[in-house]
Amino acid sequence: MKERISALMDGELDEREAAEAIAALTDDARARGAWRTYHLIGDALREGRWVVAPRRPAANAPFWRIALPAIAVAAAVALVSWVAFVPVQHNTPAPPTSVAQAPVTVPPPRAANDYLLAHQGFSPRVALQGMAAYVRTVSDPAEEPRR
Amino acid sequence: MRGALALAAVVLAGAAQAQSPETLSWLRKIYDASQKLSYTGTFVYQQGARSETSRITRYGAGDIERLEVLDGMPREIVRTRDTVRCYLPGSKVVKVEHRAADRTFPALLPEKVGELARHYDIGLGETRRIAGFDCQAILLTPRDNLRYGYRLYADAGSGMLLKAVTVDAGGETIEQFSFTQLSIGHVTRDMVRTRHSASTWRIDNADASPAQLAGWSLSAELPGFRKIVELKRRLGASRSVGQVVYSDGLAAVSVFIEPLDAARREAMRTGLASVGAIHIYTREVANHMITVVGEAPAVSVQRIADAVEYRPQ
Repeated sequence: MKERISALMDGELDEREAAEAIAALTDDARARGAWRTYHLIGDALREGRWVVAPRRPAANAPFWRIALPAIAVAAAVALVSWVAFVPVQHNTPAPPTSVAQAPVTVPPPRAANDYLLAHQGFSPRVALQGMAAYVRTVSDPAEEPRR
Repeated sequence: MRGALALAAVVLAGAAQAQSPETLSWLRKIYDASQKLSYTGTFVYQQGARSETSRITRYGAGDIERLEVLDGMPREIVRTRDTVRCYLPGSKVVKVEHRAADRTFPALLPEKVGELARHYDIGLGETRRIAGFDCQAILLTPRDNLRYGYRLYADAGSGMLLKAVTVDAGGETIEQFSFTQLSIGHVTRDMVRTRHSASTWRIDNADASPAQLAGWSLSAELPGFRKIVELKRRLGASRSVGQVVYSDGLAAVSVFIEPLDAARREAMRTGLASVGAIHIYTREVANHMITVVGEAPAVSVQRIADAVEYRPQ
């Protein structure tokens, strides 16, 4: 009967078949459930909302041939974006970056050691190894030329 | 759908993977050692083909540390309870910073160390003898490509960190610190005094103070990196800049914001520079120079830099 309901929605039934399907809708609670579900899915797809997919329908339902893959993709996208916001990630790729192009490589700025010293004080590495982490900030021979 | 289910399974596996209390207690032990011990020793800092030897001394009773670079110019840094003084004999300058890091951001406190485990898989490695100390390796493997990995070697007895190696995603060493000689205890106050008589040197004081940098924000934060401080300060001799620091508990990235004038725009080089494990990315936003500095992979530093935006209030 679900196939019939689906076909009815897609306008694929002739007059007699349509009358039977409509009669079934009046009498059969399960058929009414299917009718409501299909309409909800159709509305959701038109509005760009996602719904939970019911059981896989028969192969001869044209609506489903489009809808199921679309819903599967939508569900996968939903899951992937959920994955991206779960703090614990394991072997999952980083969320796509908006900066795809490789940056221009330049020499460190003249004041690099000023930036490094200012930054180092806030590096948690100092809590592990104390002042040793600071060696980076005075290790640039460019600013302190050797005699 | 099968792919989506597989993804879900991977996520659940990651969430279920707990770090053993023993492993986490090692990090705590290293932190305690860095806060309490008195020691003096010599260590080598290696970065690419370069290496440099320094001496470090900590006077535990006064919470004072002194670092002296032994190769080339005798650059020196002395850290007391309140300040960090950097002595640069080449330019006869003393740079003065307020001390903040290990007090303000105790990422290694027991209640915080669990957060680290969100971004790093923390496990124990081999035991190895370094500079005469029997050390335990602690491995921090990042869960994504936004941070580096670390191999830490700590003295099994005291927890003192004898060696720290930073590795990239391919496992290649980017930089490392390694003690070649270390003695624990027997440090006097005199051993942490500067050897420089710097009374005539120029003093560059950072004068840092917490501030709201009105209008400046990130359009997208980097996963795991949270804002830990926002302040106004001076950089070098006179420049007034804003600084915002983001951290995942182990790595930190600073965003510096300074107004551009004609001369500064002339000198500005837009792009990415690297110094060992540190990347520096410079770009212009709203007539300001944005300089992002962090001990993180280039992609992280660049993503934070590209996310910096200004919206007039």
